[in-house]
Amino acid sequence: MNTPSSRTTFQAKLATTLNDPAAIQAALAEVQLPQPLADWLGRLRLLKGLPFNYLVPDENMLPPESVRFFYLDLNWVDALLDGAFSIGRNLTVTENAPTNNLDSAVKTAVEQHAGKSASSIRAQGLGRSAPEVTLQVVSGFLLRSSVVSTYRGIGANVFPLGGTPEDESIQLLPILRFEPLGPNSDTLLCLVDGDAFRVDIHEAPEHLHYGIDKYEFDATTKKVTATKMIHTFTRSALPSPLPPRREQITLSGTTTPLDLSNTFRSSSPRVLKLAALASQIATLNNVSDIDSAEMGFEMTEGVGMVSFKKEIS
Amino acid sequence: MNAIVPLNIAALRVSANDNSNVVTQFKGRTAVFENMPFTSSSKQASTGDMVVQPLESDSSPQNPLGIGIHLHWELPDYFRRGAQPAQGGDVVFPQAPNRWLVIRYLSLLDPGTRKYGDVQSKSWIVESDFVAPAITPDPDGVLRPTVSVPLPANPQPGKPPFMFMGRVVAYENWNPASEPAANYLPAFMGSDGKPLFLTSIGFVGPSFSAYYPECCSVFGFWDHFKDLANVFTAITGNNSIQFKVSYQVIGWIQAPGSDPLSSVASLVTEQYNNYVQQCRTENVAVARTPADEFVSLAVQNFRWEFNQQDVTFKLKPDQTLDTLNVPQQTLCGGIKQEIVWNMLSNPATSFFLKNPDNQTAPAVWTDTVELAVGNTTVEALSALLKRDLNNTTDDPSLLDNYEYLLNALQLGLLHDLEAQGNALIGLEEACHSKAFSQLAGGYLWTVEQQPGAAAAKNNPDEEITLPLAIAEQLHLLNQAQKDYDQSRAALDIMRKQLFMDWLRFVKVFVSGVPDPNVNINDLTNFLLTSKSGELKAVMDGGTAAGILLYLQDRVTAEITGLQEPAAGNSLANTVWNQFQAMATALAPHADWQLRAVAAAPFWMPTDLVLVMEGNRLEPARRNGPGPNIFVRLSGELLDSLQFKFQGNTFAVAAAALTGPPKVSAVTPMQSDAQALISEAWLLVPMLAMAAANALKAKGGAGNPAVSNFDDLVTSLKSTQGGFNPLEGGPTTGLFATIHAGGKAAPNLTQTVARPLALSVTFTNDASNGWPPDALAWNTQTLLPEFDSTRFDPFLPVFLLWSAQLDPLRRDAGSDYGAGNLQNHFMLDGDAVDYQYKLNGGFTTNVFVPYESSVTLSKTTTNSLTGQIDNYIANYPTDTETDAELTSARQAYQHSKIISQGLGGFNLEQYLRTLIPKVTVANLVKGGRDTITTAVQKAAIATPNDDWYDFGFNGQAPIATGLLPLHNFGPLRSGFAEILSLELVDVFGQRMTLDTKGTNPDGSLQTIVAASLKPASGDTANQGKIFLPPRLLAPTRLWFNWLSAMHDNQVAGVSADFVEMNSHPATTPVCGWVMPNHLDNSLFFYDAGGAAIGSFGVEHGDLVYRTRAGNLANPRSLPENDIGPKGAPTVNPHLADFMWYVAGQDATFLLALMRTIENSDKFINPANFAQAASLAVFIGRPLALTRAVLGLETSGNLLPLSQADTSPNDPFPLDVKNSRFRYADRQQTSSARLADIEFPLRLGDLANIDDGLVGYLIERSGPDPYDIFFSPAAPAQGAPKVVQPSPDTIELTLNATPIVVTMLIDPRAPVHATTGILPVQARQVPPDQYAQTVRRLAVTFFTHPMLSLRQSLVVPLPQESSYQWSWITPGAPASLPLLPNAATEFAEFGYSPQSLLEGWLRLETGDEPS
Repeated sequence: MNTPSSRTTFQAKLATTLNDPAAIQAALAEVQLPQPLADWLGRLRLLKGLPFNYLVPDENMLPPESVRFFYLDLNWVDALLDGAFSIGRNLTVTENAPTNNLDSAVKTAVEQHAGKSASSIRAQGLGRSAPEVTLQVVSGFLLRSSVVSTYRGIGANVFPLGGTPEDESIQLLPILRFEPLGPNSDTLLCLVDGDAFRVDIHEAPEHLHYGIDKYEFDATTKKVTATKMIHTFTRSALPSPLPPRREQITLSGTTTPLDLSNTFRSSSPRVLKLAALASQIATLNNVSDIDSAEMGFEMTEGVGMVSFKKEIS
Repeated sequence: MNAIVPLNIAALRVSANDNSNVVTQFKGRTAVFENMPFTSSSKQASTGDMVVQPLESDSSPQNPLGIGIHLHWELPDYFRRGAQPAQGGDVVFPQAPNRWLVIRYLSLLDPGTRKYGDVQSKSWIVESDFVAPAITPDPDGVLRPTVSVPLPANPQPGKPPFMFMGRVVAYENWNPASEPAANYLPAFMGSDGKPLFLTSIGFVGPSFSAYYPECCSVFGFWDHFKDLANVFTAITGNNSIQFKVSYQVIGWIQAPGSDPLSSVASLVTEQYNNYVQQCRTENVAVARTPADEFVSLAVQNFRWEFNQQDVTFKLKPDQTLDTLNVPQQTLCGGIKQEIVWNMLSNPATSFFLKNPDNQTAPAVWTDTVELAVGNTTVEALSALLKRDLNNTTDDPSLLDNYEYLLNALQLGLLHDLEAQGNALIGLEEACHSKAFSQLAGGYLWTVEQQPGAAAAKNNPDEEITLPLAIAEQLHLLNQAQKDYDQSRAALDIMRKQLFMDWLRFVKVFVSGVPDPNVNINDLTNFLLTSKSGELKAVMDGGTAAGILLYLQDRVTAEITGLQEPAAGNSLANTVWNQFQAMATALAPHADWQLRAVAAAPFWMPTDLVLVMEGNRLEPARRNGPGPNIFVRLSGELLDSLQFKFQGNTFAVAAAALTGPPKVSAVTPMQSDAQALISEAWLLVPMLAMAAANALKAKGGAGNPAVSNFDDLVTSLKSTQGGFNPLEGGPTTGLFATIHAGGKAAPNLTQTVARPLALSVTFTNDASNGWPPDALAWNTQTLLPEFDSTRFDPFLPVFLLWSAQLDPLRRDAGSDYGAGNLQNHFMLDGDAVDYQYKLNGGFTTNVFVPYESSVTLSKTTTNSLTGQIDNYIANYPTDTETDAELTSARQAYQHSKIISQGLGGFNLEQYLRTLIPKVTVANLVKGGRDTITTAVQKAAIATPNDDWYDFGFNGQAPIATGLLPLHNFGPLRSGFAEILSLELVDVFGQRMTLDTKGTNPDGSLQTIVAASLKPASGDTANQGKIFLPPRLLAPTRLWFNWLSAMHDNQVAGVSADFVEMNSHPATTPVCGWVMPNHLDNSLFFYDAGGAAIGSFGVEHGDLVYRTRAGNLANPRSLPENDIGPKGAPTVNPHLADFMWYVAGQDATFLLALMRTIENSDKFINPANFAQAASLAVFIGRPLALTRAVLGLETSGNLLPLSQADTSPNDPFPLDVKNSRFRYADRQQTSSARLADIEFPLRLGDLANIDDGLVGYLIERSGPDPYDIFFSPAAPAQGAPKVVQPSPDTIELTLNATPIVVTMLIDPRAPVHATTGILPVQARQVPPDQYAQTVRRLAVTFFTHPMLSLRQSLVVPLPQESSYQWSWITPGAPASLPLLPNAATEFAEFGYSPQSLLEGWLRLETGDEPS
């Protein structure tokens, strides 16, 4: 009888295919990884769920009020993912065992899926579209400080070498993960895609406020001592045929201290008398009055920020 | 209400010239019971061969067709289908309709005006089962040919053993009440004392009702026109005449109680009320109606499709049935209309039936056909189409091989080819197994859930895994049942052999002509002495076996129990006792029930199948293309015509017509029969005048019958349609609409434009008027392929074939040798069948001729176009395949194809032939023949075990001549060729079939299917048909699990027992093995899933290590874990296997590990998704199971050679040596068939859905294992881990089964391939292995592990019902670990940490039972 299919041929083909990851890859259509799996692997890639005692084997390596910068060892992360994949695998020492080849055949695709998922985790939480990431180099830092637990909204800007605000063009590295490790934790983990050169850690950007530079209150004398550095400017009129009047403000580039010791209410010495303050500022600048823009310009203060720079030896 | 079943009528015109010159060469009646010798002067014995005139004979036909028109009606399929009773034996057919009202409407042509005159009606009754001792003239004084029947069933010597059946009575004189019941078949008793009744097979076989010469005046009618003198004179005297006739035939069963529908109402009621009850129990809404129930029951029981909406019923408030209106009786009806007798010119030289091209034999037509041969119709058809499509690719692995594609399509596997990895193998196995037919293998008892039981909702059809004691009891019952079934099968064989031996005796005894090789006295003593002899042995066999009668469910026909057999010690009694014990054992389990299902069948190869394609071949599928037919309810008959003409509407009721003959009150179902007749008057053009007259009588404005009568008649006829092509006429109308195919619709409207613009709606009062089915409304058709003037049908019924075979050589003289199969053939790993070795030929080189005739099967082959259409509709995106299929469809669509098996070819190879079943009697010698008298008596001696019911008298020996001289071939193989073919039609017409060319030896050129092609290198045999080796004895592979355990609670079970159920009653898994390829170790678990220990390689040695954390075995000695050798504390077979491994060295283990790893890539079970339990976590647990392997034939007996060509032939020697016991006789007379060794291949590496890793053949003694065989073993493995060779497992017929221990991946079945039988697979049901796999406790060696200062916390997933723990080496207790305990949270205070190594353990929370 002539058989419709030759078994030995089939066996040989099967064996050849299974012995060669490239052949398996060729035989496979596009590898589809279920989204929950991809997400899980993506999270694992960003060390989510990794017990902290494995990240910091000895807590003396991260004492209170310290920051530790690091590079993520991607081989180590690969091994972590490989471990997750090892469920149901027939472990073997044979290099080209089918199970190994199958793994390596789908590895690229799986990594792509997991990587894509990793980059989108934070972006999704912030409601943004996922940034383009390469995951070639992942760097980051662990910050253990009371700042983490007290300033809930602190943020970071991470710049690569040559992309800092001092450079011609600023480049921000995509942040993959930036979160305290646990509720009320004083330890924060940050991972960025790329080699971090300068890290600016700052308070929450929404903390912009009016502020003065010095304030002291003597409880016995009930006297306030307060000063504020004021930018000085001159105001000149621009020619204009018809109203409204147009003016030009020119900054002097220097600041002058303004004594505000008597600008607080005597009954409640922490409340500024705003009209008096405006008047003082106007006086200082030799103008009759100031408008709200000039007031805002003089009084607004930014958030606190600390910059760390990598030393280049 | 009654059912109107469509009836197909064929008509053949026989003119005087046809009668004298043509029909004399037709084939005639084959059953000639009137030739049975019964007088003492006869020199011939009264045996079955005397009452048959074979179709192959050249004698003049019995009952040649007389002048006139011959009608034959095809019985509806329901009446042609029999069922085998539960206790086995001959197939029983339903009672066929036995009264037929035949009505003729005739209209003469006036040659002057060339117009037809008034219609004259005439009615007759055909009484099919009227029986008389002599033929009496019909009402017109004509002696009609009649069929003879073997009555009385137990004839007396000297008295005629035959009577004549069927007669024709003028309807007007018919009064059934006045006819004595004694004149009809039911008044006669069969040999078993039960009343006889008319069936489709009569006393002849399937050809009885299908072949007109065999059933004229039973299911046929000869209209000789003697009642019309002018017509009669003209047609018999070759005078000029033209007339037109239409016939209507209406049939019924005279006794209403025998009607198939008589009990339908009560069945539906019962079934429906049960259903309502069940819905209530299950708390679901009642969704089905009684009408649904009836319609599905009718399809299931009768294959009749009714319109569900016309079945009416009323329900009670509790939703059970109140009243039901379903048909209670059956009327079969059909019309053959507009037959024209055109003998106006040259009547003296004209013929209706002559083949003008054949001067010497004008009755014989010829056709040149394409002839394809295969094991099955599927194969042969594919081979034929491949040729038709000019597809020449033979590459078996390519999808552009059309033969391959078409096989896949026809077997429904085409789409799977791409979807499933092992579909190629599935196709190969499917093709291979389709080439076998099944023979019932008895019964097997199973325990299932009661349908109402709660557990049944999830798995209604699944068998139950039983407690051990009940499983053992079930085994005892099944063993008893098997013993009984086999002894019944043996009895069947022995009785048939006795009959054949008696035949030889009685012929010699009556004729006085001695058998040259056998002394008559020896033969007499062989058959019967006062104390022994064959008859006694057979009777003793019957006593030892006994007979069981089964209780069956009324609705589902499931076997639910047994009737208590007569007291005794028979095997039937043993079954009964075990059945009782089983019932007792099951009593506490109210939710379980015991049912018998068919046991594993025995297999026989099918006869070769021929597929013939030719212009003149018309498959005679007269009852429609599909298995089901549309049956009308009597309320759906047409009873009015609605005319629409120029905006006016007129209705004409059939009741208003003058003309339709009246049905008298003596006719059953009078009003429905009348309605059927009236309906014909609305449909048949030659009767249209009556409707036109009725319309005219209505008068009224705009009435076309008033204004333009002649044109109205013409227009009405056009809306009816169905004209004879002889006369021409429009080919539209209702007739054409219905014949266009598909189910028609109710109340159809037909519109014509000329001569009047008229539309006619064929409907009824209730506006649910359905026209008759196309098969029941026909006219003559032109057969241009035959001749331009051929209008009479040619409907093939028989195929006469002759072939020759160059058979397999028997190596040991006249006997087979042990290596007879393997010397000449090989079953390599590439196939599921044998190919022969090209080493000098395996045949005798003597061609042996075979010939026989066979009734053409009615199985349709033309569903292929439907299959292709379906495929394309289902898989529209499969464009490449669809395009190829479309071309195949086009090639096939217009082909005229007949397919037929060469019936009898197999039978003749073991020297038997069929013989009419005639009661054993010596009517010539009477009581002087003591042997016949004794056999006669024995055959009917046992109540319920009448030998005739089991067809013991159905086969005759082929003792002399070419066949026994040159081939007794129960192992069928060789090269065959087809020599000649001839078709015989319903009326006995003939057609010989030729091929375009012939082979050099004169045989027909055949297209051979791939499975039957000779080897490509074998030039000498190209073009012949290679028959791969097949056993002609019904055989089955006994491949069954052995239970993993047994106990001694149940008496009779003292060892592991064979699990006969496909779902074993208990798990066959003896233990589990888990490979760890990383450190080359093999971990063992006991059957319950508890860890034992592992074998690994340490420093080059094989070392056993106990399981982690087991402090009780510090030195890791196997005996501490599994008990000492011979006294196991775990499953003994697991212990045997572990001791076997322990006795080997590191090389062995490494080779074993390598084998297991190799096999991994070839096992990818189709149902992997079902096993997502723990197995997913831990790799691949392998089960250690045991099974038996054996080959057994039906009855454990082998066919005997019937040859009697010389004194040294088996039969003369058996007689001479008094080997009258079959078992003794088969030692010498079965050509030593039992010696042949049949190799068996276990597992299938190429099939990724095969789970076998390897196996060991068990031997007796303390060390049962020697070599581990595995197809995946490394080529250069250890001496004891090797690849099996083809002869590693060899089986002989009926030998003690061998036991194998197998290491399997339980998720896939294990296949056993023998080539001579279909591939068989056995699988451990998922519910049995999944449960145990869940229990496997696994330890993962883990290091290094960081532990917090406070405690060890490991990131572990939550596994439902599993627990994690940590085992530290040497620690007495394990440390429980919580899942999901480790987090990424930075919680300080854990330093210093420590590094640990040890095992993580995962185990079930519940205790293993």
